[in-house]
Amino acid sequence: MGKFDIKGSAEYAVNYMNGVVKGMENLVNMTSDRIRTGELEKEPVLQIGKMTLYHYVPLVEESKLQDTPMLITYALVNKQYMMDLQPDRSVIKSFLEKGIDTYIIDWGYPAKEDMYMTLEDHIEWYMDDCVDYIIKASGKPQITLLGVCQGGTFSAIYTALHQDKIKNFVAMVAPIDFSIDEGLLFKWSKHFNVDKMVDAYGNVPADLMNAVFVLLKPFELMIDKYVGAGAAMSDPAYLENFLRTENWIFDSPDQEGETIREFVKEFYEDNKLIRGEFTLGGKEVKLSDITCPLLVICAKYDHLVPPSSTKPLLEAVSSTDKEFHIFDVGHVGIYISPNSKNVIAPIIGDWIVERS
Amino acid sequence: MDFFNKEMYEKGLKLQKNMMDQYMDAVENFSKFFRNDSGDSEKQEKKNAESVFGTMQAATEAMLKNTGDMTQNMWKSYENMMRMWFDFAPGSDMFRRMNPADVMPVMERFFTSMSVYTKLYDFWKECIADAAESAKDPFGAAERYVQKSEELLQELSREFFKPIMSEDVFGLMESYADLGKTVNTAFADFMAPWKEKREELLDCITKASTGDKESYARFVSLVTDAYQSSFGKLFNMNNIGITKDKADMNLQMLDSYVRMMFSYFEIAANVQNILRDANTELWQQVQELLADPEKEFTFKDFYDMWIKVNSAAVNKFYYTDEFADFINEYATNAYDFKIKADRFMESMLSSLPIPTNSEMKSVYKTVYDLRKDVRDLKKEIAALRAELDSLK
Repeated sequence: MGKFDIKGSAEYAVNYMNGVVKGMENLVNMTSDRIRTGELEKEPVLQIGKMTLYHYVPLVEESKLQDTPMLITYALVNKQYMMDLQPDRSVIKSFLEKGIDTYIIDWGYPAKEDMYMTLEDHIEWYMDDCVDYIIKASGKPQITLLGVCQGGTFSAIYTALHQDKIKNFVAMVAPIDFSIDEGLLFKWSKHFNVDKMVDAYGNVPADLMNAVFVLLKPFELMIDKYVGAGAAMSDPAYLENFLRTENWIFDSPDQEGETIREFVKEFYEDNKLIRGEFTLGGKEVKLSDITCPLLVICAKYDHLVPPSSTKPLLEAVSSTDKEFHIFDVGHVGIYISPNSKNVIAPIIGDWIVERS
Repeated sequence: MDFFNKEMYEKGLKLQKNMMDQYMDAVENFSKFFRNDSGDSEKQEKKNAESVFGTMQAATEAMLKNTGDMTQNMWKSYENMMRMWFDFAPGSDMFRRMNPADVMPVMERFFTSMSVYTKLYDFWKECIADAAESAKDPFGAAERYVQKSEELLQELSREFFKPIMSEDVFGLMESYADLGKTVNTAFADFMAPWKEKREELLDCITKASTGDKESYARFVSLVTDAYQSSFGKLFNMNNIGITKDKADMNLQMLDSYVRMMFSYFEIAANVQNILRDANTELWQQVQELLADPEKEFTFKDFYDMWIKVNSAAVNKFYYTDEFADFINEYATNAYDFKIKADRFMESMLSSLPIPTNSEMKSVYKTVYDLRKDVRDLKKEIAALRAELDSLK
């Protein structure tokens, strides 16, 4: 008969509980300055409504700055400071160290009066004003646009409509083809009644969004994550990073009602973007109008935006300079895994620098 | 008719014979029970009784039954005999000379009361005899009980109340009884969806309690259907009166809450089945590990297996169209409940000096439109300025 290792189990349990007790001590003594995020210095340069455009203070001398400034467009569903979550894994720091003059959009925390904001407002108003500002402030005719997740979808639409302003386009874990069944969000959203949801809430509460994301992997995200953390909390450095990530995950803004209604109906339900049927403000959006160099980054274990949703962008554009990379991480791991600063960010940074 | 009537005597003698037969039958049963064979002990007595009737319980039941039957039959026989006598006797001169006229109504009411008693006894006996069947189908038993009670009450009211009430008053009482029947019929029609599914519901409950994983989900589905065909219609009907709107909102809110909970229970039942199967599979894996003498495993290994097996099972279920439909139905019902609850809440607050969401939405729309206008105007001004500057 096989052996249930009672001694080993008991030792494991004791070590685990020791870790938890020390971890609780670390948790109680944890101060907010130790888990502060966004260490890199930045200044607000433009504000429209709840949106703020930040300019990162360069880490290199002005003479070593790259010619083409970069604008990072993040998703609406989470906060952008995840890209600068902790100093040793900051993707933005890696860009700044390469002399890329970096701007980032902070969409802010929508309030109820923002419930009528549309996709057109975000892309043709906010993003366009930010791009115009950067062009004017830098004195350069074009910028590099880096879009993350839903921000990547926005960036693809913007580049298609304003190719003249975009020198290079980087799409990171960006959903483009919504017809796939691989990710649960893609599967469920085809049966989704977004109209009822928006009619019920106006702005969709962040708590509801977080609950949906956690529900996608209930055992991993509700049980295993915390069991694993319990064992490792005795390490203060681990606990700091864990708390930073936890704070970021649950620091989610509400979703503007009309924007999410449009996004789900136009893309998740009708998949208009990749099919060339999407219009914004009366203008047709054709991905084939994108001609600038394109870099597509995917995460192999991404359960939110599977690579099969992003890859079709490579075939849809008219660019001749195209590159694709896939990394053995999850959706968020692209930015906070141990390889994010030292492996992933340099690949992106080098690609941008070569084309600046 | 003359008192000395051959037919009457023949009937009387037949009645007496029936009474005697009943009596002899009871005596025979008693004798069998208490039969003593040449000084047998108590134990032998019991054994004899048991051998005759199978068990002590059966013996006791038979004794009681016979006693009851005998008493009832004696009573009925006496009643029939007296009634028969009163059918004939009052018409005879001899009886009229012997008894004053006002005795007859009293005697009539006396016999009516006797019949009430015997009818009640019959009713009780039927209920007791039906007990075993009633336990299997309590709803059906309740229906039969209500029906029998109604019939008995009607019979008794005709026999007991009618003779002492005026025709108008009795007619009014009967019309109320008819009204009761109408109400019962309407209620029966309303509950028909539940009645039709009754057996299947009970079957599902029984099977679910023994671990049949499909049955609980089927039960929830049946309850949902029956609700929608009965209470669901009631809660969504149009109300009337000055508070019509609030009544409509309140009932619709209640209906949407019930629908939300039903869809939640349906998901929960299915997820529970999935997890039950997953943990059965986990247990089999543990058994395989235990059966392999080469393997050693700790609690950590078990925990990792538990996470992996359950997560895989849930993930597999998540990817089915069935789950997508479940979650969409639940979400839609939940949003519907929120919309209706908010609407009801706003209607209750409408008389207070508090701005509501609905009122603020129009303000938000106005502000949004104004912002867009301001932005367009700013762009226009900037363009005009640029044009002006170019002309300078």
